[in-house]
Amino acid sequence: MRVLGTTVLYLLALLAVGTAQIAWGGPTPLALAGWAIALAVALGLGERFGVYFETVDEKRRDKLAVFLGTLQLSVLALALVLAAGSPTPGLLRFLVGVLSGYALLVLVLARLATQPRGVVGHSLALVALACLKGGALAAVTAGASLALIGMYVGLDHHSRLLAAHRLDEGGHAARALWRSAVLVLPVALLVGVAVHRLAPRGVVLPEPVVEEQGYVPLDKTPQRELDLQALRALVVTGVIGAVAVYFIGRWLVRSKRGETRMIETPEPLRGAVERIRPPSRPAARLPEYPGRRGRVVRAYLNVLRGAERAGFPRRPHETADEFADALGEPRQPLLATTDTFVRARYGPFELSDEDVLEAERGADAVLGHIARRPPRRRADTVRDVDTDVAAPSRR
Amino acid sequence: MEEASPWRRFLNAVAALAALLGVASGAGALVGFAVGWAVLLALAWVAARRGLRGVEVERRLPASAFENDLLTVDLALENHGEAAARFVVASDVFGAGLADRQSVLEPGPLPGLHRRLLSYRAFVARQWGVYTVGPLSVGAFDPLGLFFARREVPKLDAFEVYPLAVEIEALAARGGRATVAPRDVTAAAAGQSLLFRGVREFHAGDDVRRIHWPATARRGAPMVREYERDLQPLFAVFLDLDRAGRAGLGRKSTLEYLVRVAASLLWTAHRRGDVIALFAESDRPVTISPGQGEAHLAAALHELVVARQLGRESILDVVEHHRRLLPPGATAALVASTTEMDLEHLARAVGALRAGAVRPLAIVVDAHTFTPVDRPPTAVEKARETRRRLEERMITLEVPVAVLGADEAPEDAIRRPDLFAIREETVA
Repeated sequence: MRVLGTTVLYLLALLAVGTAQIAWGGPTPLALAGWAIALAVALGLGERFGVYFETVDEKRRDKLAVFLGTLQLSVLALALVLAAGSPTPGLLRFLVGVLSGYALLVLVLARLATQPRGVVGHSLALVALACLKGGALAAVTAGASLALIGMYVGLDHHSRLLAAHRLDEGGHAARALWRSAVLVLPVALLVGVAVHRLAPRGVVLPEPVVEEQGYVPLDKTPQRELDLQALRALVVTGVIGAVAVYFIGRWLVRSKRGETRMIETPEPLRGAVERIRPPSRPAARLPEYPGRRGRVVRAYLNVLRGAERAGFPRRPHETADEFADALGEPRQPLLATTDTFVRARYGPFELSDEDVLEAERGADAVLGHIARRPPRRRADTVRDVDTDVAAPSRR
Repeated sequence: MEEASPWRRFLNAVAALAALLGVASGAGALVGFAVGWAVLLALAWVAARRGLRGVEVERRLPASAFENDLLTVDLALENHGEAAARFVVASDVFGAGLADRQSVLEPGPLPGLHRRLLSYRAFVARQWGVYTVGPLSVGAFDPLGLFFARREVPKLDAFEVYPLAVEIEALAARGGRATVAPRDVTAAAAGQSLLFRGVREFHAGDDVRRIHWPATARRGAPMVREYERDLQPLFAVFLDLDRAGRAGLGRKSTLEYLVRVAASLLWTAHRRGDVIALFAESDRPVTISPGQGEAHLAAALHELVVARQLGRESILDVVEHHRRLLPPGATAALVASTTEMDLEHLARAVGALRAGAVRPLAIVVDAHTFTPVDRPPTAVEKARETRRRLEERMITLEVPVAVLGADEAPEDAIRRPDLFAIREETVA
């Protein structure tokens, strides 16, 4: 999985340098091939040096990584601000050249930190420069860079996850790549198409100034003022920013020291995969009673609920008539409601409106009576949660 | 592995910067990149939650273990969904261990309606007591590892850690084995053993499987086989949980010593095949009636690890209450928390035990050698005198006795083969 990750990282760096060069440098195919080889060599060296970096004390390595990272961040931020603020073809060409060369150094030091954020960040800076060009190149660059970053992050995640749980990566690399690709590639494709369709234009460059080819005084030597200024600003701001961010980073790291938790990921013991019993079918729902029948049944259910709240629940084995006998009072409305319910629930004939009214009035009367004079509590009640109170069997 | 992705914040910042740069410079591709990243984040968030759909986890572990034991905890990961589950992480908190969390990974694919048993080994690193195991949780990352969805199973299991039990060699030499050395494993009375005793006439209620057919044929009347009765040596521990014996803190406390000594006594007796019993009086009576087997031992050890020194009765009163439960030939081990005993009462209790053909032995934790917590300290001379008088009296009564002080770890002290002999020499 590490080889796959390194390959994706290389493709990202190559995409960034290549598209930035194509956008602003106008390189020949031979020069592009040269960059591809140089990047490959640099990354190969970086992987080789990673073995040596692992032998260095972790604390020292982190310090060096933080320092170099902050220096790089300062340089990149300044370069991008310059590129977005006052873009000229000359400045952009210069920045692409500087950052492409810097990319070689970043690749060599790729494994200094635990995560190669430097490579990703640097590549994205070059991608940003390429995107300033606009057009199909920018669309392809944005989509492809998103895809490559997503796939690298996915591979890196799976690799760390498996390593943390002491599982062999063999057999999981392809699956990890597939899972990452399934999530990332559609989005990346969408981004590429959307950018190409919706925002094909790049940054607006100033018109080139036509220099007068007339008399030039001898004491006035030609200067590349913008390039020199940019270079000076790059170096000074980079150093100052690096020092500042180093101390901020150090403070952040130290402030989080107490939060570490001990998580043990022991050597896994895995049993065989067994089939489990399918979930049991959901219990049959209450039948729906439309119309008059439904009104009568609902009225009776209200009586049962009211009686249960008052401490007199229906026992699972009790029929409707048995429950009415047990509850007792108020006798007349209770018997009327029960009888109408039995006819509605089990009878073949359609009920009349009078029946419904009788049941509802009876239910109201029973509930009112229970509220005023609660029945004696059923101390020996056996509650059967699985048995619904709505469907008592007929006597 | 940490659940927070090392990439998410970084790439969020990068995407925000790209959006800013794109808006400032008018480069739509940079804005598109940022929007694409935002969409990716949303999809990842959803994917992490979808990965947990239908996944359940259940824990199976033994209810108890001894200190320093290594045990295996099984986590049954079940996929009740239709889609296969991949890269599911089950995390558990094993309270008796040192690690905050134990995490196991099922890389999958775990097909729908299938179960996989994952296990982790946990080292019981904490001291004896009752701990919780859980909560158990199951979680899943999205394919990029940017988000982690977790679902907790609010089931907490109680897990008992018993004190490290050591074999007490001195027990075999001095008293614990006396009931059976040389012991008759059976009694010459009708019982259920495998030792054949004879043949007698059939009585109503006899098991027909015991009919001795040759004898029945000879006598012309049904005859049955008879077997001798098993004799099981009984080892009873009387534990002193009187609050008067409280002293010291943590690992250097009388309770710690009492529990460790009692656990080792019960363990040794159990290993020897004795019937064991435990009697104590705390804020509630503790009675483990005579019995055998691991479950019985576990019940006795459970009472030890939840014991508190809240009793108001001395150990001699406890002996008085329960001695009638001991059959002749039993051994009674008195584990006392202090040397301050009523010696006359002690003599009466020992006499009563002897009258019932029960052999007593005593292991006394000297509370005076521990840091006093709820009373003023006792003068050293007085403490020594109390201890000397107790030892002398015990020897006079011919009761094997060992007095443990705070200067020696209880496991080391009770492991000595001459546990009871040293005290005799000291007094002499």
